Amino acid sequence: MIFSSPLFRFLSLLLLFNIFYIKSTGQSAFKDSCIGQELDLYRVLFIVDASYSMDRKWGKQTLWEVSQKMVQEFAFHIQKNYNVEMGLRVYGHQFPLNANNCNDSKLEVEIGKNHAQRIVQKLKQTQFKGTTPLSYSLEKAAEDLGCNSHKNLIILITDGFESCNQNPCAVVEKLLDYRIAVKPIVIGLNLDQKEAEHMQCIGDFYSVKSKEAFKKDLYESFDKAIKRRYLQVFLKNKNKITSHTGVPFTILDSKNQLIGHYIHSLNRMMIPDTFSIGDNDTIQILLHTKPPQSFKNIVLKKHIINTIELPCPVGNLSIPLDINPLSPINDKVEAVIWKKDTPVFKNTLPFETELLEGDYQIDILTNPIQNIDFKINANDKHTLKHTIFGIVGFTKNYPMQAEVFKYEGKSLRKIATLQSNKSFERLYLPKGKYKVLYKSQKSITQYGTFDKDFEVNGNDQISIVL
Amino acid sequence: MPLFQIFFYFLLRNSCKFLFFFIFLYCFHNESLAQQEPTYQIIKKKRILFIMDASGSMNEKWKGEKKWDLAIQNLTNLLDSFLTENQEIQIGIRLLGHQFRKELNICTDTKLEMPFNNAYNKKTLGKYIGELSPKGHTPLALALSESEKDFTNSHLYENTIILITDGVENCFGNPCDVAQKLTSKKIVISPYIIGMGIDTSVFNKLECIGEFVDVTNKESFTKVIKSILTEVATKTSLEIHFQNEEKKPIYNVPYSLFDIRTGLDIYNFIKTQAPKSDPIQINSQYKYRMTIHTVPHIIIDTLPIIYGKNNILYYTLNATHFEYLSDFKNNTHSFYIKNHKHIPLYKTDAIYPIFLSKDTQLQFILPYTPIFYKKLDSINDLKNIIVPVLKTGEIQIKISDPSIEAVLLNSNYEWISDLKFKPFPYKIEIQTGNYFIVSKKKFQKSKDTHQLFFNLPENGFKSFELK
Repeated sequence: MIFSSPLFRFLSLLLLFNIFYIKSTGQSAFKDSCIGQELDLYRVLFIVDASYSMDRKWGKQTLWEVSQKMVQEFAFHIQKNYNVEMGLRVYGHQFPLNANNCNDSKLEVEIGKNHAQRIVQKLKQTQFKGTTPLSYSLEKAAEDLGCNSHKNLIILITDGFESCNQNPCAVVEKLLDYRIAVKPIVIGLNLDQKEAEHMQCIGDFYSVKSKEAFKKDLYESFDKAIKRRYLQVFLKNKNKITSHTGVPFTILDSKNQLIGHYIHSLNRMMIPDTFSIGDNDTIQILLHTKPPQSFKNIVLKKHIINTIELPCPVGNLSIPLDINPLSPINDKVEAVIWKKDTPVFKNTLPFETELLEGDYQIDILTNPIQNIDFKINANDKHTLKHTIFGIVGFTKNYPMQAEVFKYEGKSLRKIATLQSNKSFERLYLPKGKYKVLYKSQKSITQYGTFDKDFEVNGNDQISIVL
Repeated sequence: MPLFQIFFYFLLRNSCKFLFFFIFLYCFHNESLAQQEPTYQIIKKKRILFIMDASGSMNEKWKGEKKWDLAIQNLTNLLDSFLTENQEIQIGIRLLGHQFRKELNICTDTKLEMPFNNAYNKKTLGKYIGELSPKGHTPLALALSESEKDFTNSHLYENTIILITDGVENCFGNPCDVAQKLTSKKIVISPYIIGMGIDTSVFNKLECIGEFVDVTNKESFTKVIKSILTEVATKTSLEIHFQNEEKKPIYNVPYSLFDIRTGLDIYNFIKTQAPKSDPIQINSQYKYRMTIHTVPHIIIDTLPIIYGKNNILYYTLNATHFEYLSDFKNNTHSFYIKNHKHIPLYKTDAIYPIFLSKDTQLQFILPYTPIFYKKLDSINDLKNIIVPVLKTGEIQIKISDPSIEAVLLNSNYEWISDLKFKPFPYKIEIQTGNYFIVSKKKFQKSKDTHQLFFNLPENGFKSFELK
C-alpha cells in the first residue's frame, strides 16, 4: 500500500532528485539544456510586432519603417561584434485585423549563424495588418529557442500591448522557470504611459522616445546582457544536501561598491535560484547570518553559471516566555546575545532566531541580568531555559535614594538602583525574594532608612509604594 | 477566597458579562499582594521572654532543693534587680506543662502567664508565678511556636527568648523546626537554652534551637542567667565610615549587617551624610558579618565589635563615586557592565550615584539598535565615555503579508534587525543614519529582492509598509 501512496512517490522523487543534485552541484544546479554549444555563443530571437497599428507615423516615417530599420542595424551590429545566432518571429502579419486571429504568429527565420541578411530580407517582404497576440508569440518563442539557456535572448519590438485577452506578464513568469532563462528585452515604440507601465513586467523595458537615445540603450543593454555574470549561491548547512535558505546577503564588487542586496531563495525543486549581476570578475559576499560572515575574492567566470558554496552551519535558538494570558507582561524584556566578547544582536523576549553553530552567551536584561551560556549545533534547535520573572512597579512619593536587593540564600545582592527623579518605575525581576531599601534625599540620619521585603513568583505584577 | 466564591456564583448566573470584572478582580488581587507596611530602621526596644519548663520532672530535687523552686526563686531575685536597673526592658514569662497533670497526657499545655511589661518587681512576679507548680508534659515545640504570638510588633523590638528546661520534647513536636520557622519569619529571636542537668547525649537536640548552656548547680544557674541579662542590656553602637583612598568620605552606600549564627540580615542602612556622628544601636547578642553594597559587593566576615561601647570603624572602598552620564538624562536607556570574565555586574538607568568597585577590563554595553559597547580599562573610564550614538529616530513598519521576509541593513551593509510580520504596525527606535530595507516574498526569487534606501534624521519618523 505504502509504495503506491502519493506520499511515497513524492518522497522517492525527492530522493532521486537529491542524488541528481549531489552530482550536479559541482557544476550548476540550473539546467542548461542547450548542451554542446560553444561557451560564448549567444542566441537571439527577434519578435517583431507587425500589427495594423504599425502604420502610425513617428516623425516622417511609419512605426513599421522605424522598427525595420532598427532591427536591420542592430542585427548587423551584433553579427559583427559577438558570437551569435539569430532568428525572427513576426506576429500580426498574416491575417487582417477584422479576422481577429489570435494565432497569427510565425517563426519566419529559424535561429542560425549569419542570419542577419535573411532577417532583413524577410522583414522587407512582410506586410503589417492584424492583431497583437503578444502572449501567444512569447510562448511560441520559447519553442523557437528549442533549449533553455541564460545565453538565449529575446528582443521584443512592439507598439502596443496584448489584444488577445491574455496576460503576457503571467506568461513570462511561467516561461522564466523552465523555458527561457532570461527576461526579454522589450522595446516599446511610441507607447503611452499606461501601456509602458504594463510592458515593464515582461522584461527589461526600453521606451523609445528618440531614435538616438534608444539606439544607445539597446546596444548597451545587449552588451550588458552578454557580459552578465550568472551565479547561484548554495548555503551549506553542514551535512545537509539541500541548501539552507532565507538568509539575506549583500554582494559588493572588489572595490567595496554595492552591487545589490538579496534574500536567498530556493525554487520549487529546492535548488537555489540563478541570478545575474553585471560585469564583475571578483565579488565579495556579506552573508547576514548571526553573527555575519564575509567572503572575499569570489571569482566569477563569464558565460557560465557560477555555483558558489558558502558555509552556513546554522541551528535554531528559541527563547520562550510562558505568559499567563492575563499577565500584563508583554515583550519588553530585552536580551543580548554574545559570541565571545562581541555582541551579536539584541531582541525582545520571546523570540526565535537562527544562529551559526558555536558557543554563545546570553544576557537577559532583567535585574539582575540572567547570564546563560549555550551552544548551538548545526541543524539543531536549542530551547533556552531561563528563570521566569515578574513586573514590579515602584511608586515614589518623594525624591529618594532607593536600592533593590535580591536574597541569594540569606545574603543580599544589590540588583538595581531606582532613579531618584522618577515617581514611577518598573523593573523586571526574576522569581525570588527581594528587599528594597530607601531613604529620602533630605534625610540626615541613617535612621531615615526604610526597607520593604517582597516576593516575585514570576508572571505576576506587583506594585510597591515607597 | 470567599470573594472568588461569591464571584463564581455571579458568573454562573450572569454568564459572560462578568468576564471583564473577573479580569479586573484578578489584576487587583494580584497587585494587592505586596502591599505591606515597610519596616523602618529605629532604635529598637528590648524584650525578653522566659519560656519555663514546668513539667513534672521539675519537681525533682537537685542537691536538696526542688529544681522548680530553685529556678523561680533565683529568677525572681535576678529580675527584680535587673528591672530596677534597666527600666526600658520588658519581661514576659510563658510556662509549659504547668496546668495539667502528666497522667492526663495533655500536650497543649502552655500559657503566657506574664505578658510583656517593664514594671514587674519581686512582689508582682511572685503574684504571677509564685503560686504555680510543675505538673505535666514537655511540649517544647508548641511553647516555642506559641511564643510567636507573644511578640506583637516584632520589628519594633529586639526579641530574646530564654528557654529554661530540664528535659527534651516529649510531645512529638520538633523544636528545631519551630525555631527555624521563627527565624525565617524574621521574628528576630535569640534563644538561650538553659539546661538544668540535662543528659549530655541530648545536647545536640537542643543546640539547633539556640545557644545551649548546661548548669549544674544553683550558683551556675544564677551566673548564666545574669550574664545573659547583662548581655541583653548591654548597649553597643556602631559608627561605620566609608572613605576612598584619599580618605574622603563616601556617602549613600547601602550596607547590611548579618547575624553570623543564623545568617539573617539584622540591619540594613544607607550611609547618610549626617551633620553629627550618626551611630546605629546594635543588638549585643549577635556577632556580625557585614556586606557593603558596592558593585560587586564587599563582605567583611567578622566585624571587630567591642560590646558595650561605641565602635567606630573605617573602611576604605576601592570604589569610585560615579554619576550616570548626564547626556542620558533626557533619553534614559539602561546600560550594563560586564567584567573581564563576561559576567554581567550591574544594569541601571539610574541617575543617582552608584558605586562600583574598581575592576580591570570592563565592558560597557548599551543595548541599543545596534548595540553600543566599549571596553574599559577601569570604571574610571566610564566617565570618559561620550556616547555618540544616542541621536535617534523611529521607523514604523507595517508588513501586511506573512510571507514577506525583510531585514534592516545599515549603510555599511551590516545587519541591524529582522523585520518580522506582525498583524499590526510596530515601531523600532534606531540611530540616525542611512539604511536599507531589504525584502522579498518567500516564494519570490533572490533577483526579485526589493531594496529600499532611506535616511533617518535625528528625531525623524518614517513609516514603511511592505506588501
